[in-house]
Amino acid sequence: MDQHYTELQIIEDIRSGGLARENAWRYVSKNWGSYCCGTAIKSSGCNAKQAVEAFSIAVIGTDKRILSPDGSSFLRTASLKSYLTQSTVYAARGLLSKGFKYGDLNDGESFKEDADDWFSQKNCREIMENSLAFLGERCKKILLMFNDNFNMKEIADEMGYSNENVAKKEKYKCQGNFKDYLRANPSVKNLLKENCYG
Amino acid sequence: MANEQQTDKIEAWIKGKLPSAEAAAFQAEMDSDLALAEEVELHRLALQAGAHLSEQYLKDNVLKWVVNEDTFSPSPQSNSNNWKWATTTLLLLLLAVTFWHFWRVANMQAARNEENAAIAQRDSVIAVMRIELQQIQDSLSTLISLPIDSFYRLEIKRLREVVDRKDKVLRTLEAQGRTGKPQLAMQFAPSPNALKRGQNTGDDPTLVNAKNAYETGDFATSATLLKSIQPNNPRYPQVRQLLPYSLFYAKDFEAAVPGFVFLLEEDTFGDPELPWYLALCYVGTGQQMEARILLHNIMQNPKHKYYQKAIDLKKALNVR
Repeated sequence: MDQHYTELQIIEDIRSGGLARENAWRYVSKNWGSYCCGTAIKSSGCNAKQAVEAFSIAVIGTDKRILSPDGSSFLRTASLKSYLTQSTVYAARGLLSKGFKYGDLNDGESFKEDADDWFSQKNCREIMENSLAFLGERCKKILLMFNDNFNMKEIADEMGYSNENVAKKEKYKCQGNFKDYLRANPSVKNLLKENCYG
Repeated sequence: MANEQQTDKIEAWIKGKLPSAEAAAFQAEMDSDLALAEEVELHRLALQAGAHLSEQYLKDNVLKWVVNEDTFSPSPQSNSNNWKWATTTLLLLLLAVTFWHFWRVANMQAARNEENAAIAQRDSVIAVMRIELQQIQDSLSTLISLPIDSFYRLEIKRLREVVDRKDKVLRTLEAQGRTGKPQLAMQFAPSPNALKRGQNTGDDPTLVNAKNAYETGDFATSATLLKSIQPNNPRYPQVRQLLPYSLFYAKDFEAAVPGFVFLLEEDTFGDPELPWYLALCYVGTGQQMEARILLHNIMQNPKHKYYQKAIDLKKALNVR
């Protein structure tokens, strides 16, 4: 992907979701990833593997922030690249620190919230991962595409369904399967509620 | 279909997309309907599952995209670190090379000193032997000039044997440790036919044959024939004139040297050929010091017949 983005275009494409969002993050990763990771290595003393992990955490936090209701005003406070860099450094420090304390937000920097959120959701992610183990790969793909704002036509094309209605029915079916699993396993449902919603 | 519509409504409420009035009505319904409330909770978790899958997918992709770039770039400090490493490595390498160079020079100097000491020792032995040999040859010449009787004949024979033996030892000693350059000597040698020495051969058949052999290029035969002529032969002065050249072109430089030295010492006309041939003999035997001294003398005189050749030969000696 050789398209050149401005930071504003990147944010708009992420907010529009689907393939545009994916391409925007691909661009960011390929063009800024090495800089962010290099800075994290230099600043935190982490290794390359930890730096890439930290960058991926920073991307997820930034993605959420951009997709949040006030995400369009994201650039008012900082440049996207600078935000990602600081977020990567902070996440790298979090990965290195055994006694990493969540919620250290005295200075109110939002990239710290993003990283802290990721670290605090560790249990939620593990339980969710186990809960989804029974779901087939096709269902997982449909659910994630739906979450990423792919429209039903894009989902149908990607999954090889004849039309959007089939895609929609498959989406309902997959969500239903997951709900049925939780109904059958109330303890898992409760664990998820406790760990994912506090 | 009814279930799907219900699901869409639940989803819209969770995402805050229902109009406020509809949202309030839905909230009221949910408060009174536990099954609906349960369904809303389950759907919220289903959406959460989608978000989780999306996060994982994005995370995996980011790892792939970044890692595929292979190299990390480079913050300014890491660049500077790279330079520091490169400079340090280069300096260490330079130090190692310098140390190796001086170590090698010191070793070479030590080896050269050792070699020079050995050469000096050998040269002093040679000098003593030369004096002894000269004394014996003088005695021999004296005996030969006296009237011959049986006693003298025996003494002459004994002295000749001593001379031959000492001459052999002397040559062996002089040849030790030398790396002669016979090809270089021959390369700079004038044409043998340009020489007009020993023209007056008289009626001595040996001398005539030696002269003929020389002219036909059979220098070894010429030298052998000339050496067979005794010093008391009236034609011996001609032998002395021709023999060094025969030996030279037969590439017996070692044997040619005394003949050229004699001619040079006896020369009163400043024959330019003699120092040049003697220098070439020394080149051929590997006596570079002697060769250089002679070449230096020739190069002192720009009008010398072999002035330019001496310069060229000295250059060739320096290069090789």
